[in-house]
Amino acid sequence: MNVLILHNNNLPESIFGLDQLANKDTQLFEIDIKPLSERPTDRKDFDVFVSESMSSLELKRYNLIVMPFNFTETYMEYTGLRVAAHIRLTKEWDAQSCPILFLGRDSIEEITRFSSLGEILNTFNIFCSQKKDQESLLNIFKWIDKNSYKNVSTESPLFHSFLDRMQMIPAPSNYATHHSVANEWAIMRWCEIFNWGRLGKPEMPESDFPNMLYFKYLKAKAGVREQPPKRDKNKRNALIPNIKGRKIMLIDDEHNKGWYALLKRIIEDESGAILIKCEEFDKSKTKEVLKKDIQKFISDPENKDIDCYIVDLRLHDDDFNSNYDNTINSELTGIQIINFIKGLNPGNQVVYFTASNKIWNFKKNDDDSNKTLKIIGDNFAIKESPEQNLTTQESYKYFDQLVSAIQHACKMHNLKINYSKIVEFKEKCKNDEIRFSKIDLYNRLIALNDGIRSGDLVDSAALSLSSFIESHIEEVFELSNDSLSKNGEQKGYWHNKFKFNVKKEGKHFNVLSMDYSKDGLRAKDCSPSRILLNDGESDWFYPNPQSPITKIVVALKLYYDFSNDTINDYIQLKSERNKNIAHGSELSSITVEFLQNKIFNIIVIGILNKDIQ
Amino acid sequence: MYKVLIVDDRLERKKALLDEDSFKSLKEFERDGVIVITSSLDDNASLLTKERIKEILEPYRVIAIHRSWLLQNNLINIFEEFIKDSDKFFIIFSGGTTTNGFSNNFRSLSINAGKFYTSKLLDFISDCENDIEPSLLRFLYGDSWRLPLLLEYRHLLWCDQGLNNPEKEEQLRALFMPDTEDVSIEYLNKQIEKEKFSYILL
Repeated sequence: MNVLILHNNNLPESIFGLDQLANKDTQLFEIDIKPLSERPTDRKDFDVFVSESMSSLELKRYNLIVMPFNFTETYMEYTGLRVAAHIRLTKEWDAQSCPILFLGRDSIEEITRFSSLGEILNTFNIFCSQKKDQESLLNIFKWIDKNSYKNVSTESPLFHSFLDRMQMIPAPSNYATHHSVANEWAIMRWCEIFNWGRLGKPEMPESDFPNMLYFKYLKAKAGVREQPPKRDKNKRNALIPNIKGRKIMLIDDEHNKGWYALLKRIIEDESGAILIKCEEFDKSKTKEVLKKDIQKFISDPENKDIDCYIVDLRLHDDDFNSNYDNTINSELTGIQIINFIKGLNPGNQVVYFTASNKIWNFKKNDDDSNKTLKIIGDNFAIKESPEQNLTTQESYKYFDQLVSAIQHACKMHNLKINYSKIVEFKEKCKNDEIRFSKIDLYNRLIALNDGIRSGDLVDSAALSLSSFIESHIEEVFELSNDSLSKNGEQKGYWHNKFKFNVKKEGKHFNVLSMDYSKDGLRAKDCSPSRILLNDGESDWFYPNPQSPITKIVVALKLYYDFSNDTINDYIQLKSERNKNIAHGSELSSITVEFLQNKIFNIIVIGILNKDIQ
Repeated sequence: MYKVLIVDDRLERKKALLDEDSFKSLKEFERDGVIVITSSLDDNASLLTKERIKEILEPYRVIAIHRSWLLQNNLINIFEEFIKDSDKFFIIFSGGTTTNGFSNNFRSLSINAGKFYTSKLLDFISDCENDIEPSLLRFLYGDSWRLPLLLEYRHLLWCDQGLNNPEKEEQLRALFMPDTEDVSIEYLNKQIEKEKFSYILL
């Protein structure tokens, strides 16, 4: 058997002469560990030292590892236990089931009293002895070789039992908050689970986190659920479709821990968008100063035209108070920044991307009681945290949340232009609150992630838009039998240039479409009277100048110069609305995309553009 | 009174790690002038020389510095030189420190930030206010400060090594002041037995 002896010149002399007595079947190897320098300012953290220095030892070739309970000057740190935990938890060393023998005068009772890692002494293949004479030691080696468990896999109950006892490993204090651990963990996970193709894994800033025992423990725990283990060929691409060319801003105090590097790879290299980052996070700043600096960065003219802001909720140490994880409230720096972004333009799109595990409750409760937060219509994604113990497939779902959130935000990026135009128009028509309340309602509705997909809200949005168009034209234009005027000024002749396709439905005549000829329609192009129509029949007629729809169509054509197709889109909207009002039927042909792309972007914006000039 | 200096570039850190009462006590010590808390030794910290550091730290008996401040200002080596030649007490704390460690004959301590900002810090400062010579062993282990020394000594006796260092042996004996010349493993076992029940694992 191959026996490795680790020491810091703090084991009995007798053990170093063992190879003289050992038979040819036992090989002894000895390594002197001197982990800490005398320079307290310069010393490497012990976990980092262990991870780095022991990686080259090829531990898997040994049948037994012998060590003292402690390697360092501070005896009660029991760093030997720590080394043993590293051996068990570092998958890459492939020595997870190697028997470990501790030599020392300490009793198990003392060690478990003095050290949280003492529990490791109660796990598989861990042995202790106070013997130091050579004969006894050789007998112990033989006994261990014969009686220890062999090839204990990480899926075995023995290993799981070991993990259960290791939950006493404390997180280092700068990871005492859920935020920091979740950030580092999520970065690590996403680096591992994706197929990064020819570019390879994103280059991450140096971090000691992967070397820490606590991190290795978290990783081992997560691995327990990952059955079967993920294989390279099953990995996904880290692509966010349909965001090419978009400009995205990251506001995250942990951007330099790897988030910027990771998201840059995903958003820029994989998906073709542009990612800029806010770097104002000097930790010595007070919360107020930090907030002002971030706001200044956002408002910088060089950072205009952002299609999507990705914002973490907790951006300052002050956000981690005793209420952490219990409330998400308007005091959080991230929330205040988001309110600022929305205050600049309600159409600005924001994605909450946070380690907070309460965000989903918050989203569910995003009702009237949270109006002070003014975040209606925004998108949420969570950075996974280690205690969730997700499998790879589950991690992908968290990534999918982010993908969906960013995609939706980018899709809605035009809302900020819409709002700007509305504000501009509103300024010009300062007293017309009723007209602008309708546009505001539409934009609030269109930005909701979930509600807009339900029939009720599409219905309300459709009503808002058609009301705006109709009331605006009704107030501003006059229609005589042959001409169109605006504010008393003649804008064009319409007589005999338009025809409507009208259908009789019960007692009502619904206009289905229009046609226009600037040179005038011939008499034979239109039927003489609608009265002749039977129920369900349709035919072409000259428009009735008394009918409200006539004025609207004529104004849309002669003054606003919309195409026939566009005007027919409005007619379709009107027709669906009439059916809905009259019969309570669903708006079967009206979708969010139709309202946004055809009605709002073309007709409403076209009207505002023309009338703002 | 022994004055204490704390250099921490993230002033909110102590608020996050200390409970409300401890934080208030810390502020009171600051008001009374026992401790000075600052985010930097100097506006141009990266240009500090060893001599200038000596001047600035002159009034203080205990200096606690966050490791990231030293790193950011490239002062690791200069401070290391200063500590070696100084009779002051130094605490280097960092959130990334996973194990605590003494050096410089227990005059220097490397410690996790979460273990630094505890109620033990207030007890330590209180001792300094009352002219009690600082002890970093006592800071870390409280009333059980003899325990790590007893354990270490016992282990080395068990190894038949003694301490291989008569000076260190003298220091250790002086530190826990045995009431007998005959320091055997059995004697140490008895002392450890006495001490262990007062130790509270945090």
